[in-house]
Amino acid sequence: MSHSIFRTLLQHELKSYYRQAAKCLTPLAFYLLVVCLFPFALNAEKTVLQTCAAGIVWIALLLSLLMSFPRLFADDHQEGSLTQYCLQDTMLMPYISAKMLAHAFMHILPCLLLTPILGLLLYLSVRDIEILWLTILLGSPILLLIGSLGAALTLRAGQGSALLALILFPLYIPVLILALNCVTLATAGRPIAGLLAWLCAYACLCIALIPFAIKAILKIGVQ
Amino acid sequence: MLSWSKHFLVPKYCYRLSEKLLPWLTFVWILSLSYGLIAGLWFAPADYQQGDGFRIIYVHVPAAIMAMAVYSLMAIAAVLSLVFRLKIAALVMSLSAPIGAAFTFLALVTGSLWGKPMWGTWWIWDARLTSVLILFFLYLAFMALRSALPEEKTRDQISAWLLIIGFINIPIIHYSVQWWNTLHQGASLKWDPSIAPSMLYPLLAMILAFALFYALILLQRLQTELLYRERKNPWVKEVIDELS
Repeated sequence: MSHSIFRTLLQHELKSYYRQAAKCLTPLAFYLLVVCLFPFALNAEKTVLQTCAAGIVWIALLLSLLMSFPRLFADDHQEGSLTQYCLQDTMLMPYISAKMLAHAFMHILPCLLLTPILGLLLYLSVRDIEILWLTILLGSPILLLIGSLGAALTLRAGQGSALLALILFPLYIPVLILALNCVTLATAGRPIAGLLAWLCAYACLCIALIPFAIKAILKIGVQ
Repeated sequence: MLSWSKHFLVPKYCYRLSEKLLPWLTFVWILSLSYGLIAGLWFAPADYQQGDGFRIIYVHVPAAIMAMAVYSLMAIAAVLSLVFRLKIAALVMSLSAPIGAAFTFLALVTGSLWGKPMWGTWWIWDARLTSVLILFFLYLAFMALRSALPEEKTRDQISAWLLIIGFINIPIIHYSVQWWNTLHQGASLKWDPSIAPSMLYPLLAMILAFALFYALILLQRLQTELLYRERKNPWVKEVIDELS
């Protein structure tokens, strides 16, 4: 039962993204643009960009995700469908999962596909790009879940990304540290399996706990 | 049970209890503050490495401890307000936030003032400094979210959730940052203190004084808020008559 609900909701979400292509293309362009600003701001020299590359890409990713989160639940709340989902307890969890999965498909996946190109723009070697790509792949579930949590918290606040940034970025710091240390260690030629395992563990913790928190917060929010 | 717990459940009794507590707390606060300041600033010997500069510890360490303690207390109050729907707990949670943020800010500023002569720099991206800074951002996020939420009822519940999430994240942030960079001297207080008794006792007195200061400010803010929220009830009129 809930399986088919989930499938329907997911199809609906993907369709709505498909019909509003700008919704997922704008954050992607933003991601590219932020990265392209850094060579102007820092220096276009190869060594400078190489040392900062992983950090730049991660910060750009955080910012572009931040752009997309305020509308995550707000649209459905405005048109009233979120209230309906909250009234039916069995609908809410499939709805949240579908929402986040669609977001992963339409925002994070394009960003992941773009990342190798950004790495090349910043003079990263292929091996470093691989590591960077892997850290983003493992870190993105955490970013997505914590971000959705922030979207649920600020649903009624209606202040857009500034408030959301204040809430989210302190919570993002551990992921940032883990991921960027992975890259640094890998560049220095040291093993990173342990760190990747930590990143996975953190992602699992988030996947296990955060959806329930989102559910509770949304229920309070639509009261 | 009810007669005991009513002080924490019913606004009227809560107000009366805090009225009774305030003079005693103020008395103990003045005692511990004057002992801590006089013994710490005059009688404690100068540090063999840091000279008289170490005396800022009597503000810095209590402020840092209170920064963390207030956040923990707010998280406990958040759980109580979510699970048992205690109005007083929600009030304690929301009224503590600016005080806790002020303590955090004080810890950052005094730490920076201490760091300049000892480490030669105002700021270092060291693990402890960074975690306190992040704690400050967590306080700011809590207050910003509260001011942005329009309705009182959802505001308390949603901000309580944010507090709990922040509280769960604190150890994760702490260990990840620690693992990232560490320069700070070790903790000043341990079960087997590495600090001389003549320096330790004033420090403990100052910590007590800071905790009592927090309690004093919190109780006074709580009284004001209770009077305002219950302004339509007859007991508030009684209180006002007594005061005037």
